[in-house]
Order: sequence, then structure tokens, then C-alpha cells
Amino acid sequence: MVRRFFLVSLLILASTWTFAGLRYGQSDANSPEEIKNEVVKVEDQRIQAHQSHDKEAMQRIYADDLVWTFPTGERFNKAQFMDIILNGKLKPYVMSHGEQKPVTTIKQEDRQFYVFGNTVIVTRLASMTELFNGKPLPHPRRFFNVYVKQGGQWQLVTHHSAPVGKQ
Amino acid sequence: MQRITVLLLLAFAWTGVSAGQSVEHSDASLVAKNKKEVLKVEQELDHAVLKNATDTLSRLLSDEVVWLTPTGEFLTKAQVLADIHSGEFSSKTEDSQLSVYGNTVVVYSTTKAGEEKASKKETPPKRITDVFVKEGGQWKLIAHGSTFISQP
Repeated sequence: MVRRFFLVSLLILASTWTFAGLRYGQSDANSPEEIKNEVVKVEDQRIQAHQSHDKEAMQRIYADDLVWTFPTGERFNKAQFMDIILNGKLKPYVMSHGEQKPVTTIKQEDRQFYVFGNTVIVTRLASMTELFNGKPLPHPRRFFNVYVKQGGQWQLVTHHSAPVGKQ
Repeated sequence: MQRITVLLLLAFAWTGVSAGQSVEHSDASLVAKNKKEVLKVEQELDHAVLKNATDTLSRLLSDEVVWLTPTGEFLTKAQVLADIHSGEFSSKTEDSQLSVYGNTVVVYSTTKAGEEKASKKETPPKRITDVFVKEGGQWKLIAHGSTFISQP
């Protein structure tokens, strides 16, 4: 009886320290391939959240101190960026027969993942055209997204974008 | 037996409180320590570029660094080291802000308008995002992005 009690106690202690370790961002994950698959899932959810204006998903995926850098060099925090998306201030479009048509599918062009333990960088080319507050943004552009695992959850902490060939 | 139970419960309670306190305390001191160390590495990077010190630059860049130029190209570490004369780092950065996530630190800064080291061509101010992780006790740059500030 006493031995069982001590074993249970040790298990509780071990789980306490495991939890504390996770708070520090130590890896609870697995192989780079498994980590990559986790981030692919979150990145896909993020894109879906943009398209469906899913505020709850964006709140969950974006870190509270998110910084989003546009290809114009403008920078936005989480609240500002969510306002841009949720209020339709950023509109991807295609030209069809001389008319602007909204984009329904975002192509994942040249997407690469770089795993550094609990930090993952996603790189991509975005060739679509976008209007921001009615004005066209430079395009095409390349960008990277940085995900960090915090408290067992992958969050986007920063996005940095630069226009291709522009100065 | 009852006494052992009480003592163990007290030990658990103490462990929980103490773990919580040490996490909070360590969070604050770890953040401050990491900020200080990363700012020092940023200065080393600037200095290495000014002095064309490819050895230092090579030590501070992760082998898999993601390097996004203001003209939208991704460069490998080898390309960055070969292109050290381009002036990518040549302008002084100002108003650096750091976000710390354990052993990952993101540094946001803006450069003043300057000129390229090689061509002496004038360049507009840039937004810079640098991401560092601690690998084997050493801070390494894993991502660098720079974008010219312009009007859409």
C-alpha cells in the first residue's frame, strides 16, 4: 500500500516537472518530419482562417505579440492585422476578362519548411495580386512565417514579406 | 501512515508553489538574459559585415539560415557569405525591439536610408526581421528578412 502510494506520488512529481519543462518550450515533439507535419497542419488552418474570416482560429494561431511585415515595409501587430483580415481590407484578386475577380484558392507555391527544434520557418512564393485598402500591393512576393511551439501549441510569431525584384 | 500522507501532500503543495514561482522568476530573468545575449550577437554580426569577417559571420549564421533579400530572393548561407560585400547589413539599425520565446528571439529593427557598400547606390530605409535560436549554447541567426519601406 505504502509502495503504491509512493509510486503514484513519484508519477505526479514527474508530470509536474514535465509540464514545467513544456512551459519553457522544451521539445515534446518528435522527429523533424513529425514536427513539420504539425506545422503544415497549422499553416493550412491559418490560410483557411483568413479565407473564412475565422476570428477564433486566428486568435489561437497568432501569438499575442505577432508582428506582420508587408511587402511595403509597413508593420502591423496582432490586433491591427486581424482587423485588416476580418474587415476585408486585404483582398487577393485575379484579373479575368479585364475584371478583378476575388481569389478562391490560394496556391501554395514553392513552400519549404525548416525545422529548428521548437521553431519552424515556412517559406513561400506568393504570386497573387492583392489590394490593401483599395491599393495594389507589390507582387509577386516571397515571405517567411516563423512558428514557435508554446505551451504545446504552435503559434505564428512573425511574418516577413519582400516584393520580388522591386526596389 | 496518516502522517506520511500529510507530509507528502505538503511536499506536493510546496513543489507546485515553488515550481510556479521559479518558472515566473526564471521567465523574467531568462528573458532579460536572452535579450542581452542576442543584442550582443546582433552587434557582432554588424561588425563582422563592416569588417568583411566571413569567419565570424559563418559562426553566427545557422547552416540552414533563411535569408530573404529586399528584392525578394532567398539566399543560402554560402550565397550570403559570398555576397558579404553587397551592403545588406551596411546601414545602421535603429529602434530594435525584441520578442523572446524561450530559446528563440526575434529582433525587429529599421535601418536608415543608406548606400550599398559595393555600388554606392542610395537605398531607402528598410524593415529588418532577424530570428535567433540557441543551438548548442550558441545563438545562431536562423532567419533574416529585409524589406524596403515604400508606399503601396
